[in-house]
Amino acid sequence: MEQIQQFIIDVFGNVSNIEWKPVVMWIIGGILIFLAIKKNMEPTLLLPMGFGAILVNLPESGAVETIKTLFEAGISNELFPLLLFIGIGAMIDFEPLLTNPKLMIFGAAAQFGIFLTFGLACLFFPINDAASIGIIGAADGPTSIFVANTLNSNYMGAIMVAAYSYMALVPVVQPPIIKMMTTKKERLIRMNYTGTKVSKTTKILFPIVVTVITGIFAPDSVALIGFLMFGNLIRECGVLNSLSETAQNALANLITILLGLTVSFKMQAADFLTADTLLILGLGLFAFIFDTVGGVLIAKIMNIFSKNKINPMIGACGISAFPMSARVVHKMGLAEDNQNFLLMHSIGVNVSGQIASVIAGGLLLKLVLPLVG
Amino acid sequence: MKFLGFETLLKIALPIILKCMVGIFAVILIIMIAIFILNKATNRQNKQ
Repeated sequence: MEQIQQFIIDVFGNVSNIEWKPVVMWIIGGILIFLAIKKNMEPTLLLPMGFGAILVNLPESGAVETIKTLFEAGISNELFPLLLFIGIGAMIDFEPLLTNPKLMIFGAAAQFGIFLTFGLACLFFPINDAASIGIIGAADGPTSIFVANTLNSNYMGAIMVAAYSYMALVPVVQPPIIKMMTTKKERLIRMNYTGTKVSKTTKILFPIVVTVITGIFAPDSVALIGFLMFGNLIRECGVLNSLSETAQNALANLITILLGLTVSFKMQAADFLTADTLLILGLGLFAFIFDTVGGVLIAKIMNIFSKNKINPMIGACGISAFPMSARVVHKMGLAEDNQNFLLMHSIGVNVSGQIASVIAGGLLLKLVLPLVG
Repeated sequence: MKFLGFETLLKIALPIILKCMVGIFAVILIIMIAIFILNKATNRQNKQ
């Protein structure tokens, strides 16, 4: 009898270690997997994150140590986000921006939500966490990880989930805000695309010049912007096509698999299931909303002074959720007027948002890091 | 989660926010100017 009892304890003993909090995390993991597969929302990240959330919350999970090793090897030292940026840089075509550089102003304006959220988060969180929460508004996963990690934030898991979930929810979050901020007449504004040819020399010099300028003014962002622009230089130089393809596909995919799974290390129930997480998710949404508001508003202000009117919807693409945001605005333009093609303009704004969000992250780091020590 | 008051916001965060906003527009403006110059220079070179 004793042997049978011992056998049951040996085989099923771990069942008694199941608690309600990890079970809630399994459900959250399941929801992330569902959103990834059924709704096609950022599946490359939400699926590994969802599965990882289940993995690390199994009782006595033997995976935690392995994922911790991955975390220390790839995220604690910022390696994964930086390598991913090489891939992203290789994917981006800056031509629409180079033909119309004034679009960059929207990229800067659409970082407004980051700073507003940072201020709001300061009311509830220490300054390093507040800055990390604000950067959710960068709508840029690698930048969010980089800043949160450099500032040693305690809320990396919640920040990551918020950043990637809202990026996936751009088609849901942005349209109502854009509609609320613009009139029908404004949404009907047509913008001509001149399509001026950009020389190859400009395309090659652009990543180098941006790296140097950003490096001088926001040195803490030089790793991010440098890796992003290095990826772009590989793409544009014309002599490294196989490296460019590897960066765009193999490298980006490999890092994405590891990144999603590794981030789940910070999704263990004890750290994740707190009221703070809910507040961070709320603040993240706030950041996205006010990024959109900032971009649209600056376009409306520019229209007051400009002869050639700008469709204010393109201002919303200044958040760097690339290329979802550009697609959303393009579709909204077509829905209002089926001959209004805003794609090239919105892509131009969108890629400038990518640069501006990294600069915003770098500036925040430069100013907040000395206070954290 | 607890309310930490307005002190951090007013004394530390607000100056940082202002500096960041000015900083980001300044850097973007410099990059814009650099693109204008690049475009002009390379177009002129192409014409020659």
